[in-house]
Amino acid sequence: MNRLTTLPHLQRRYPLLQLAVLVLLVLEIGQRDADFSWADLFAPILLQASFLGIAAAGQTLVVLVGGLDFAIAAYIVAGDLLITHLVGNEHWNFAAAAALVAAICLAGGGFTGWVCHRFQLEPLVITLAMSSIVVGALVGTNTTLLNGSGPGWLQTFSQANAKTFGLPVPPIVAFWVVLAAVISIVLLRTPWGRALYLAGSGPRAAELAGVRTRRVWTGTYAASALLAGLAGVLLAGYSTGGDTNVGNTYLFPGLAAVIVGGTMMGGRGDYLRTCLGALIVTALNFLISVLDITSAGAQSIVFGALILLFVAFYGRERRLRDRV
Amino acid sequence: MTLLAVEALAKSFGPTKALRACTLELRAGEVHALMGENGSGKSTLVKILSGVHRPDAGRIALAGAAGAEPAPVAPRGPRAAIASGVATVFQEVQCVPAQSVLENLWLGVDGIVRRAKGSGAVPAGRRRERATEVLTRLLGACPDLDAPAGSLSLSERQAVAIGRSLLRDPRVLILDEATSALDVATRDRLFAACRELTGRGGSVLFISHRMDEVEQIADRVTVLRSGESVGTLERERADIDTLVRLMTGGEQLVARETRERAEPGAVLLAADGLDLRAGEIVGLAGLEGQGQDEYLRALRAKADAGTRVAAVARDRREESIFPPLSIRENFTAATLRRDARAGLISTGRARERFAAYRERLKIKIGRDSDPITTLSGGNQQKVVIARALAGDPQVLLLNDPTRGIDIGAKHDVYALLRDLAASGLAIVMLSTEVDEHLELMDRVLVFREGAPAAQLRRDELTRAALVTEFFGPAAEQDAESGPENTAGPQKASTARISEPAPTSFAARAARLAVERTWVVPAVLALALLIANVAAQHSFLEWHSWILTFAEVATPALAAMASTPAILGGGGGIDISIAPLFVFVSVVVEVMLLGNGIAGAAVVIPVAVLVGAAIGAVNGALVNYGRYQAVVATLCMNFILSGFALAYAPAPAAGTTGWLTSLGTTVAGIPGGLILLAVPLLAWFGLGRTPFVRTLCAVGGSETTAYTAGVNVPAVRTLGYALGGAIAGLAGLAITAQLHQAEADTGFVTPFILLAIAAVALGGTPLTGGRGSLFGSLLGAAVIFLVENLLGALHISSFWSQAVYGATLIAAVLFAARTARSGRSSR
Repeated sequence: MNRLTTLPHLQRRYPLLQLAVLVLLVLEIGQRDADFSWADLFAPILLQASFLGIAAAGQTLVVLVGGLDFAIAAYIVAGDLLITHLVGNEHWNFAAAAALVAAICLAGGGFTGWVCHRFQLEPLVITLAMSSIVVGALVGTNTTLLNGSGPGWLQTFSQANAKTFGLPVPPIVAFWVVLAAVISIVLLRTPWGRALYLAGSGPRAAELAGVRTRRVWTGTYAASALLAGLAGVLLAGYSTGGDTNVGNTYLFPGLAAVIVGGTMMGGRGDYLRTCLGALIVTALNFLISVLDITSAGAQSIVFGALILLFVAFYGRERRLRDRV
Repeated sequence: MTLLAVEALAKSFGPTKALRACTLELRAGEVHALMGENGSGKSTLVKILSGVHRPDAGRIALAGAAGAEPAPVAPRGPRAAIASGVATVFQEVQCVPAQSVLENLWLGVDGIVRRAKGSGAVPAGRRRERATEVLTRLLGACPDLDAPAGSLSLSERQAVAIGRSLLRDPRVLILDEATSALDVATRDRLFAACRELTGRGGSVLFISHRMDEVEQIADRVTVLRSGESVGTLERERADIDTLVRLMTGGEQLVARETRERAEPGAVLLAADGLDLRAGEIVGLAGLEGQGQDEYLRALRAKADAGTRVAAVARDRREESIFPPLSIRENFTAATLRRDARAGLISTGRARERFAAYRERLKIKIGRDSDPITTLSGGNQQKVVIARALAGDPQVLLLNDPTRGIDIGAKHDVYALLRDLAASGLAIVMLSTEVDEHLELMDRVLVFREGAPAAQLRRDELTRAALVTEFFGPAAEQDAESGPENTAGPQKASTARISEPAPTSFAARAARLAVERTWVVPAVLALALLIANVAAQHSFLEWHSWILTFAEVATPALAAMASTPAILGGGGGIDISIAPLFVFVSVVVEVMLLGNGIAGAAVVIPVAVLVGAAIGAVNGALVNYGRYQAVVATLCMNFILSGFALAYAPAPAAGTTGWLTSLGTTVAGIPGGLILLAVPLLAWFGLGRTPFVRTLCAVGGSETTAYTAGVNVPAVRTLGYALGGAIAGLAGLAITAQLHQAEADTGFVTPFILLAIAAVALGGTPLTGGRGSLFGSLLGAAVIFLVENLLGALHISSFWSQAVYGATLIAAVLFAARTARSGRSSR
């Protein structure tokens, strides 16, 4: 049993390395700023991280099932544009507009998962194509989509100094905590979530054990699109005027959050790890701005190097000789 | 004289001791058979001798070429083993379906870019001749050497794999159950070839389950049991009983049952040749690949809706376990809902349920939350059986459940199955061990040529009766066409690419589209070109051609740059190509032009070399660092974007004479055309070396290439480096077109998508192995032409984005369909 209690084993079970890095990052930011107050250190990090964390939730599910979703940016844009336009310009009811976003996301995502599984297509290519289709069709039908603004209450939802039930936590952060709890429970404690892990970690074994893997793929991609759409809706309060590039800010950093958190393709990881990943990525951004590195590129470089380092500790491929 | 000596070899995989102490002596001029039950360590020994695995302990000594005394060797890989004169044919048929028979035969002989030279090498001109010779010897007649290997029958493909080993002129030939895929005539010709090899002073290590084959060919027999060599016998002393006693350790596999078996109950499942009753154990027996596998699989679907059937699959790693998940999660996989309370799974309940089976099956584990991979094979299999039992089945279907597990675990499984049958469960069990049938089964169905051919009741079951039925009545034996026309397990896993002679025009067109991947995008591009001209007549004018080439150059070069990594397979995809060419353009603008270095003789090589170097880093991370390609290149994506932004926070402008003309015309030729021609010509030149062929072979079947002696990581890494070099050219193209370098992510991101989309549209499957740079160029042209056409029709650029997405899905679907229809035409 001694072998099992060594550090690598514990790391596989709990995201210790990630926790340590996060604590160090936050300490360093506070040190540099000489400010450890809630309002100036923790709340802003949590606020930024909540957007990233919500945007990366769908990617976590898709990576767990063994795929990749590069259409996340497009569904974020869809949520953002439709809410700002329909509520801001056309004075629709918010719920109706949100329902439309949900319908588009579920249809697009569900189709992606189904077609990838049915014809064994490369998810990378199909999600890229879906992303072109969704953004293209949306903006192509109505270019006035680009100048609306979100409803006022949604704007307070993501304000740094807003309170939730009297607590000094921005509502969106509280929302993120609740969402994380719900996703974690669904993933870890419901048959649906377990089926997702099974389909991801052994597709053929899952099929033989009676898991309907095509349904799992369809459902997972639909859920991913839906969560991305949700992130877009929330961003509508944050931004005025739609922007077709708003999603790109979250696509690669979102994937980075998933990987840094320790979720790897094929059933290893969970959403709480992604939350940690989102916090690390965000804290890193803060550190770079605190360090006063004027170069816009430094953040990217550190990201890339950090992911390489993290992945070196876990989740590398099997050796060629073990595949003979 | 001793040719190969193995001494006290040991090897463990995690908790499993595959080989404990193996000692073996191979004399020059002998055929030496190696026998043992499944899991006795035969395959591990073979993989060590062939350089795949390295032993934990022990020595291997190989005699020198000139009859020198055996000297210790430690092959560092298949290539080294083959070079030292040890060639291996594996049970799993190793061939690259999409490549020609000739290419398959000589795979691994050449270096990465240089053809094999030196005294022993066969000159290129003689290869066809030698190939014909070897295949004629094995197959009687030589098949078409230019036909794709995938179009051959299973037996012929195995002959190709054997031919590959024979062409290396080995001193030691290892046949690891290589005869199970061969028809009888081919097997006899192989034996003749073996005799010829031993006649020349070589020797053959022959592994087979078939006693008749061992009797026919072997001079001596060594028996392995639980990873130890337990004895070597001369042929005359190696009768079946002695061998079986050695293989099983003398003890009876299962304690002979004394108590009377209960009378079987009601019929639970009716299929052809079988009325399965409650409480009985039915064995499925036969030589490998006689249809028993398919029969067992089909049984599951034949049960009535009301009958609960559970199954345990054959391939534990691929079909049974979920490697990253815990023991408990592996156990509950088929019965998730049983632990749910109000929709939530209760861990306690799952643990409780598992504890019962843990005791009953004697599963030895620490905690049930440990990963399943920490268990030995036997305990893993017990967990899998527990999973099947957890659904309270009435019928249990088992496919060789004791394959590769140790003797203790086997006993536990047998005892359990007896108990289960006594309690009324009906069990159907496929087994490759004769003794299991003798000891365990109430009756046995023997399979020949795809169907149950005989049934033996318990009172008729003897070893002799069973083995006789394996081969059928003596009269039929001569006419037996062998396993050739019955689907074996390998057959299902190795794709048939196309029929040798398609007749209808449609079939021929489909085959062309499969073999020449660029045909479909070429037709598409041509149609779009005509549509463009129809919509906008000025498209044909010379000055618009110059613009077109300047505009197409960058995306087309980016697409071509992505291609080599994808061709190499293994999930190889380089999503850092777009940031790479942007980074190169920043290097050109900021570091070179910005510092007054403007000579073409400096700038062009620097651009290409920077690209190649970064591509090589990507390749090394993926192939030596074992990072997933998407992850490694995603990181590179970040790093390159970061450096580009750091050096050019705002677009950096500047140009110089030659760069400006590269954006328009050089000596009257469009610059874009020149830039596109360079990689195409370079690739064409590489096509004359072994590299392109080897890269595609690696992409088509990495295990085949690896065991044939190809340096797989080096070949793939070179592919990434070449892609990087082409990305360097793309960096020049974008600078020549825009006269500036822009590092903004909004500018870079669309190119990432574009490059990979163009590759897919160009007919190169992202799984690798087939495709061309030219196809990727055409794919990029198709995307450009679609956008241009929609622009000419005054349709918003956003719509054109949607159309291009839809085109991409249609193209990928089409490619998947043609590949499939090509495969399934039989």
